[in-house]
Amino acid sequence: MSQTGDTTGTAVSYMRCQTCGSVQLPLGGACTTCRSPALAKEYARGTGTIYSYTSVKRPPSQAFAHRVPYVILLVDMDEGFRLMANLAPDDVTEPWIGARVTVLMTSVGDTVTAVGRLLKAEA
Amino acid sequence: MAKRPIISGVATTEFGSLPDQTCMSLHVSAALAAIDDAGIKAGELDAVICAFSIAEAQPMLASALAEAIGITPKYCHSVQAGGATGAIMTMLAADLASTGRYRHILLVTGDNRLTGLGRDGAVQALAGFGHPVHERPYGFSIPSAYALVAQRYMHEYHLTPEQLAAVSVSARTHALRHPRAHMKKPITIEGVCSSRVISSPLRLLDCCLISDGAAAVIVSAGETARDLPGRSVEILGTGQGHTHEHIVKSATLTKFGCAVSSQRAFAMAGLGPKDIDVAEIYDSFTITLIAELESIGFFELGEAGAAALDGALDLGGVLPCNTHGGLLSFGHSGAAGGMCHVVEAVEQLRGTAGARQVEGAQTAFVHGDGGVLSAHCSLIFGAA
Repeated sequence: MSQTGDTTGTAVSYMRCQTCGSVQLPLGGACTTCRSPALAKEYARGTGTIYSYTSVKRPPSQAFAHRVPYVILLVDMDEGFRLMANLAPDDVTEPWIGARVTVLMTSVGDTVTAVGRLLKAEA
Repeated sequence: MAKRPIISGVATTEFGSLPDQTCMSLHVSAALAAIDDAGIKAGELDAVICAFSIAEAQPMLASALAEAIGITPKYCHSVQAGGATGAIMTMLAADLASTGRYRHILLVTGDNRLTGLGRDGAVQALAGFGHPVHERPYGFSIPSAYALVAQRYMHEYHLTPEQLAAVSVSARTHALRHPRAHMKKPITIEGVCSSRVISSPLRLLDCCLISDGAAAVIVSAGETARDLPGRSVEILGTGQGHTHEHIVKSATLTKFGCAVSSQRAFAMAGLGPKDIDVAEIYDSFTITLIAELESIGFFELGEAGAAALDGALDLGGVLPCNTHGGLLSFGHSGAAGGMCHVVEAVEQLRGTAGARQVEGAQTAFVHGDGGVLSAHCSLIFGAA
């Protein structure tokens, strides 16, 4: 099973409420701010800032055992919503809060999940 | 004004590895002990409310318990709110007792989580609290979710590993005075800080236990107090606060719904944090307690950690907290973990806490937290 993942992922998608404008991850089909059903899918540019992170040494199940240690990120995407991602396994071992990252939907084993990489340099 | 509802009976089993017990036998033991403690007969129970089991899950636990003790209650169902369940059951029972339709309400929580699932099995099952699309695929676990909180807390408030460790050491010191606690050996700050990392920055001794055990409480209508043999404790205030379910959707990782739940409970009781003599506050992880102590207002933001290191939570400190050892050292089998906080608060206010007794305790604050600091319920009790 690939540890490094595909470095050319696809854009992360999110929902923008056409009624109140709030941006969010899709949950139950209604806007989580105003309950309108008028949600439109948009695609993120990919850049964001690490809000928190943790390096996991004890996995929740056998399915994640081979990836330990792996880093879970909470990233505030520039479009204004927060998501959970994993730091790319070949990236630094310990990121930091406030670090700028790019997040892409990436093949990891059999699934497609959000993978973040530290931005090396940014204007 | 109608008399306030009371807690008339409490009981916990031993907590630890109890391989001869089942989830139901633990429920029955705690239930019968609480009934005996209240000095009532099982047939006098009007209502039975239970929680949930993950080791021996069944769809109608309260009905199964009523069946196991041979009663046919007027009101019977289970409640599910994660770790806040025990506190929320108590709040629900207080409101039911206030209707005048239910005199005695039995609340039972318990599970054989250690024998039935083991630590790995329990952690795996609890990962189910993560969102199936937005969290679980990332290797989410409950310890990792709380680790995200701890990491952010350390960033915003300069909380240190030693300050977190002080919470764990305080809990252990309390537990060593309790005959039924799971943990029986002392620990040190150095020991906590060198225990193995589970999910940075949280280490093994920052995390709650996985135990077998049960706890039961009987809430009764206020007017029954005069007919009961024992010392009852009044429920002065209750409140809940809910801001999110999944940590990815929490607006902040440093201020939580316990601020609102406690404000509601304090308002109902006509009291404030300074009036509390002893606190029993949900401590699934060391960071959980720090965050709650600050959101509730027992300590200023960023100061609970230093206070813990200074002995504030110990017997003789400004806020003796989790005097039975909490989830960190007394035991945690699921919903019963939080219910043990209720039981300990009652024992403190009755003056029966023995070596753990906070001298002259008249008011107690109890708090339950479910999910990842998602669901909150605060209770305030007073000695009758």
